[in-house]
Amino acid sequence: MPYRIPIGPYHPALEEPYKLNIQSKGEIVEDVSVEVGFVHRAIELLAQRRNYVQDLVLVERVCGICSNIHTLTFSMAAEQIASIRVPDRARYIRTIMAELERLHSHLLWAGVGSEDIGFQTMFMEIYALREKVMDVLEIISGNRVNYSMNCIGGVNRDITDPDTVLAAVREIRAGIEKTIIPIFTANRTILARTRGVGVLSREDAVAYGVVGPIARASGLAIDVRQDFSYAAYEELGFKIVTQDTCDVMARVVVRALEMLESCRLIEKALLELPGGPLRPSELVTVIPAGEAVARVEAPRGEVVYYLKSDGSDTPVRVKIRTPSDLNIPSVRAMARGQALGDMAIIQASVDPCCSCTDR
Amino acid sequence: MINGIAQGLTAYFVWPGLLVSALLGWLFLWLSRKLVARMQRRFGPPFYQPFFDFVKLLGKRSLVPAGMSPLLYYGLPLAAVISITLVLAVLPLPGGVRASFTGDLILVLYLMEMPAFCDVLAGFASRSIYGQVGASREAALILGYSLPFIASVSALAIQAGSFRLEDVLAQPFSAVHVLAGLAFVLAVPARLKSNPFSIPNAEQEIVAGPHVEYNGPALALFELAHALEFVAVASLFALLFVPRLPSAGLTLLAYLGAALLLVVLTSLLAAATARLQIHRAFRFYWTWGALAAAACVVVAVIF
Amino acid sequence: MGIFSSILKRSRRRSPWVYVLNAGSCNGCDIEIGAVLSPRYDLEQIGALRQGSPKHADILLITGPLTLRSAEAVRSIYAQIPEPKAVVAVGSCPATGNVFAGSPTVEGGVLNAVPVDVFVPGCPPRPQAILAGVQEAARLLAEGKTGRKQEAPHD
Ligand code: SF4
Repeated sequence: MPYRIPIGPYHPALEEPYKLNIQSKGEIVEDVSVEVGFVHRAIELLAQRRNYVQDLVLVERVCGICSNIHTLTFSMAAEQIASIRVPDRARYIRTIMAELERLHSHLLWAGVGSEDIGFQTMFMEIYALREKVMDVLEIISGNRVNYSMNCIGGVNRDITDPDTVLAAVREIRAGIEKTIIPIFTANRTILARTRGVGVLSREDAVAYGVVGPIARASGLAIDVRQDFSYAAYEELGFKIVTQDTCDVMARVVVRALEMLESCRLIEKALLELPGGPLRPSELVTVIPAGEAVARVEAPRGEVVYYLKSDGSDTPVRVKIRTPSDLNIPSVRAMARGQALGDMAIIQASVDPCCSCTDR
Repeated sequence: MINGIAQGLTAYFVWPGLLVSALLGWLFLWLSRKLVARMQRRFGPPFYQPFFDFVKLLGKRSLVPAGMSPLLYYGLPLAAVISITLVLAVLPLPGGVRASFTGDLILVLYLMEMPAFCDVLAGFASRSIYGQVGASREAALILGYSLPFIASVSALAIQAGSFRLEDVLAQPFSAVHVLAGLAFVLAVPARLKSNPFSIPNAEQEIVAGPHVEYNGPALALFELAHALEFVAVASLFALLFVPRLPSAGLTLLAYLGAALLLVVLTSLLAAATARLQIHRAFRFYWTWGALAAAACVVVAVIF
Repeated sequence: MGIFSSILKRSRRRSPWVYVLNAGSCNGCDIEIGAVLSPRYDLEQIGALRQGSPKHADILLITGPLTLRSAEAVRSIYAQIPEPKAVVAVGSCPATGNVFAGSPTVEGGVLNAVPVDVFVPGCPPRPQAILAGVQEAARLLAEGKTGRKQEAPHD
């Protein structure tokens, strides 16, 4: 029986509105097409109408999950044009924030993924752990989401109490090691739903140009933190995580191991936190004429910002390229020939972020 | 005669029928939700939750979905409630009517499938693709769990040489009971559509399964049918596999204990598992379910 | 009848099923709604459940500034929820458009599409605030005071 099943744009499996048009024969998926654009807010246009200080607030709201990454990349591009050197302490704090954000994002993803395979208990377990990450973010920045940590040239807030943060991060690491990873790799029902499901071969991964954990789960060793090191990754010695089974399980494992790596980076950065100022003594409002491209590894992959300035306080062009933009189409390659019931977890394994994609 | 009718009505509407079973069913549903919540380290809903859910749904304005006849829309959940209540009324629970007749076990088996069939029909009639996929999954699942379920009950009937509940219950305890009990328990999670066999109403793929177009009072009836089904499955389990004790009160207590055990077990299982794919659920029932079914029937025939 | 209607009133307050709708949010509010489901805040303790179909819901939680492409969906999903129903606008976006106000692809506030009963301010609001918002909406449902069309911020 051939079906045409639209999933979305508003559907419980989808964290955000986008549309999957599934064509299936019985319970087997034949083809999928993806439609995005439901959350288009014209952020690039707005950014070109506002000044740099306002823009930081705006780009933070490109995506609430990886909000910090957007201000970071925007600031990096502006710093590059204005040749501002970021103080060491600020670089370390930026790294810590970026990795904390990765932790919360990956945990969020794991929670949503478990809900998509109908494992509610796992969702609760993961969310309980994620709350601890949110606590740390709140201790540092004062807010749970949209931390407003970065400014052009440095960071807005200091980590005043590294020991509390360190203790909390150790607890989180223990939680990941003791509950999340064992359950995801040992529970039979989870294995039945993830192993060999939604395979994206290395060739397809290259063809679709995927980035981030998806690419690394298909055996491609690409990571901006390694390839074009920024913030303090060079000093901290980042280690890349890859898997080559290419299925949903591989994506789970890559993200799980990345969380451990994030914990390690945060712990190391906290222990080695250098002293010094956080930002230039004066607020940077005007950027000299010029253009720059900045790239950063967001939780979902590489984020690219292109910034062009004419020497005023308002950018002439802001271009944002987010990882989900590249990752979402690969659902098509993963879904062909899969069971209809697996579509939810397959699309979730990509960790699609539409507010980034649509901007 | 008048007495008989009054008795029948009481059995149908009060005990062990509609009223008491509904209350008991809500209690079971709450218990199951609360247990799952506690295992997830949540506080969980208060005990009156299923009752308030039901009343609230009754009080909502209903929209009959376009393209579905109102008769079908209200008829299906009503049929589900009526038939499952009939099952409860016929079961010879202590204090109920003892109107056992030849073949009443078969009637019970048939009527117990009614809510599931109504679900399937509701799904197909809903004209929603989600409803239809949900319905076809549920239909497949019925095929799966029916095997151990019917075999388990039949094994007891074969042993007793009769499909009369009274005769079946009169049998002394034996190995058949143990095996049949196992097969029965195997069928329970899928019957109640709880994890890992909740695929017919997998929210993440097909919204709400067969009930997707249902709302308001009609949905309330389906929920009621589900609560009653919970009680019916638990009572049948208790009746068949818990030996009768000398006094009616004690027997009732033992039955209640068995029913609660069943609720706890299914909740534990539901909390510890992810949802299985329909083909895996099907395969599970056609291997383990079939094995259990064959085992109990063979043992029943031999002994 | 009196008894039934008072029970009905109580049950409306005690059993608010919610449907979450993203009208172009940045996700910040959505992940906080996710957090409300988590053990620490546990939406279920006030009897609320998250439903996958608007037809089963009582309360519509809207996040986001109402993008042009989502406006139609917001209206139709609102219409699919059977009466009585309430709308909770989560975050600053659905109230005013927030940082996206003035964008050509954003309508700037969900009041342009549906009547709102409870606004939960914040960018994003804290989970406790969202929980309180749902409870407030449930109270309005019980008292039958929902659906007031408030004036739109601009024509
Ligand atoms: S209110 Fe803030 S956090 Fe919520 S959707 Fe809008 S921008 Fe995002």
